[in-house]
Amino acid sequence: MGKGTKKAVLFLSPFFVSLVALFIGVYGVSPEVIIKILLNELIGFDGELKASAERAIVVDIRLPRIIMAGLVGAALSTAGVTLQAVFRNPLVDPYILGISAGSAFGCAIAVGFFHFLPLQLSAFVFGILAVTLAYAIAKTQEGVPRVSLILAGVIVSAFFSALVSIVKFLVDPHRLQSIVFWLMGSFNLAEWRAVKTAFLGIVLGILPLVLMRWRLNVISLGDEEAKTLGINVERERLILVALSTLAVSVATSLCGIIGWVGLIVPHIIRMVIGPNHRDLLPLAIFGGASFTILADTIARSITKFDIPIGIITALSGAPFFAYLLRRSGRELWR
Amino acid sequence: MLRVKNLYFRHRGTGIDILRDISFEAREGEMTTLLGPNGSGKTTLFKCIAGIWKISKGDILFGEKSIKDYNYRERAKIISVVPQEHQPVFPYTVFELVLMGRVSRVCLFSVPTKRDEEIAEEALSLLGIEHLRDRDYTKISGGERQLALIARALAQQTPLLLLDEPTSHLDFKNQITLLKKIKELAREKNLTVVMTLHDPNLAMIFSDRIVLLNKGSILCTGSPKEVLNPANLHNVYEIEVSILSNTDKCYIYPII
Repeated sequence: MGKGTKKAVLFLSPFFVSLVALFIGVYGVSPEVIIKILLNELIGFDGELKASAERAIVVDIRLPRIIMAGLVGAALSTAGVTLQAVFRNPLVDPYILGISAGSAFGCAIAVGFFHFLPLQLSAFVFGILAVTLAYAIAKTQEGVPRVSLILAGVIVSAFFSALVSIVKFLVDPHRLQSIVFWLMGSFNLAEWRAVKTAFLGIVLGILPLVLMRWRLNVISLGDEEAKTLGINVERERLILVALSTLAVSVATSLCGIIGWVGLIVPHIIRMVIGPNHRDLLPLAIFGGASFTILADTIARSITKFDIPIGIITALSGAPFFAYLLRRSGRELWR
Repeated sequence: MLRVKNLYFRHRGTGIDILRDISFEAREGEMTTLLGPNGSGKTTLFKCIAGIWKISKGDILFGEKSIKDYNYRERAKIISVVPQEHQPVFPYTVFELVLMGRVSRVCLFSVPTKRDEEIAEEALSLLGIEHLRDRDYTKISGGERQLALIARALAQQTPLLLLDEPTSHLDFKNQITLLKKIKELAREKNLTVVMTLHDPNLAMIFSDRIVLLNKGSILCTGSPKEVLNPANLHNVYEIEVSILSNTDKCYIYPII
C-alpha cells in the first residue's frame, strides 16, 4: 500500500467506523430503517417516522454518542502526539502525565462544592496544574529524563486521584452517584448539547495544534537545538501544552477519565506513516476518532451492560505500554 | 565578520566568571577554530555565541550590528549551528531533518513551502548526500549524520556557521573529508566559519585563525603557526610537545 492510500484509508476510517457503529446496539433496529431514518432527518418526508422510538434511539442516542466518542478520541490522541513531541518522550500521554486526573479533580470540586465555577474552566486549570507539577518534579538541569517524567506523572495522578476520593467522601450523596459514574469514563451521557460543548472546546484546542504541527518536529529535537534553529522553546512549549490540556480537559469534563488512547493511537499511526508530525498529527485526529468509536461500540455491545469505555482502552492499552517498555529497553533511561 | 568584544559569562546566581574578557574576530571565507583543553571554556563560549546562554557582559557583533539581544528567530537567520551528531527520539528521514533548518523562515501557523523544500534539496546536493534523502537519520553512520546536520545548517542560509566539535565521533578518514568539505564551503559561499576542535593537529591543518583558550580566557589568537608553538601548547595542555616541520607543513607531537 502506498503512502497516499494509507493516508486516505486513515482519513476515511472514522466515517466508516461510525456507520458500522450506528448499526450496532442492544435495541435492534434494522439497517433499512436506520438508513430511512437518516434520510428522513436530512430531507424530512415522513412525519410519523420522526416521532418513532427507533428514530429517538438512532438520532438522539446512538448518533451523539458516536460523535462524542470521535471528538474525545481525536482530542486524546492529538494531545498524545503533541505531548510526546514536546517532552521528547514516546511513553507519555495526557493520562500518564496526570492531566486527566487533574482535570477530573477540577470537575469534581466544581460539581461537588463550587457550583459557580464553570466546569470546563475548573477542569482546564487543574489539568494545567497537574502537568506543570509533573514537569517541575521531573526536570533536571540537563533536561527531563524519560523515566522521571513518567514517575512524576504517576505521583501527580495518584495525588489528584486521592483528592477526588476526598471529594467523593465529603460530597452530598445525591451528587455522589453522578460523580462516580462519570469518573469511570463513559459516553452514555452524551446528548446533543454536550456534543456541542465538546465540539467547541476540542476544536479550539486542536485547530492551532494542527497549524503548528510541523514545528513539533523541530521541538522534538531538544531545547538547545530548537533554540538555535530559531524557536522560542519555553514559549511554544507552554502554548502547545496548554492547547493539548484544553482539549483533554474538555473531553474529561464531559466523559470522565479515559486512559491509553493518547498513547496507543500515536504509536500505531507512527508505525504506519512515519514520525513526521506534518502527517502524523492530522492522521492521529482521525485515527483517534476511529479507535475510540470502535472501543465504545465494543463497550456498549459486548455484554448486556454498558461497560465503561475506560475498561476497554485499559485492557488494550496496558499490554501495549508493556510492549513499548520492553522494546525501548535501555534507551528509556537516558 | 563576527566580532566578540570583551565577553564575560557567569551562570546566574554564581559569583564565578566562567569566561573572562574574551575578544576575537572571525572573518568571512575563513575557518576560525576555538581550541583548548577540557574545561577551558570553549563549549561555554560556543553556547554564548550560539545564543543558548546569555552573556553577562560585553558584546557580540555581526558586521556593525550587535546580535546579543536578538531573539531566537532573528539570530537563527544569521547564525546556523551544527551540534554534535546525536540520536533524535523519533526517526525522521534525512530530508525531513534538513528541512527543519527552514523553521526560522516559516511562520508560527504554517508549514514549509515548495521553495523551502527546494532549498533543502540543494543543501543535500551541495554536500553530496542526495542518496541519503529518504533514509532514516537514526540509521546512517556517524559521518553521514554529521553531513546531514551541516546540510541542515546550509538550508538555514546564514552567513555564519558554528560547528561544535564536528569531528568528535568520526574516524580518521571522515574527520579529514568533513573538514575539507567545510573549508571548501567557507571559501565558495564566503561563509564565516567558527568551530571548536579537540585535536591541535586538525586545527593546524584546517584553520585560518586559531583562538587558544585556557581556563576561561584567551591565551592568544592568530594564524595556526603563530599560535601553535611548543610554549603555548605546554602552557595550555601541560604536556611537553615538539613541532615537526617540513617546508610549509607542521605536525605537533607529544614528547613521551
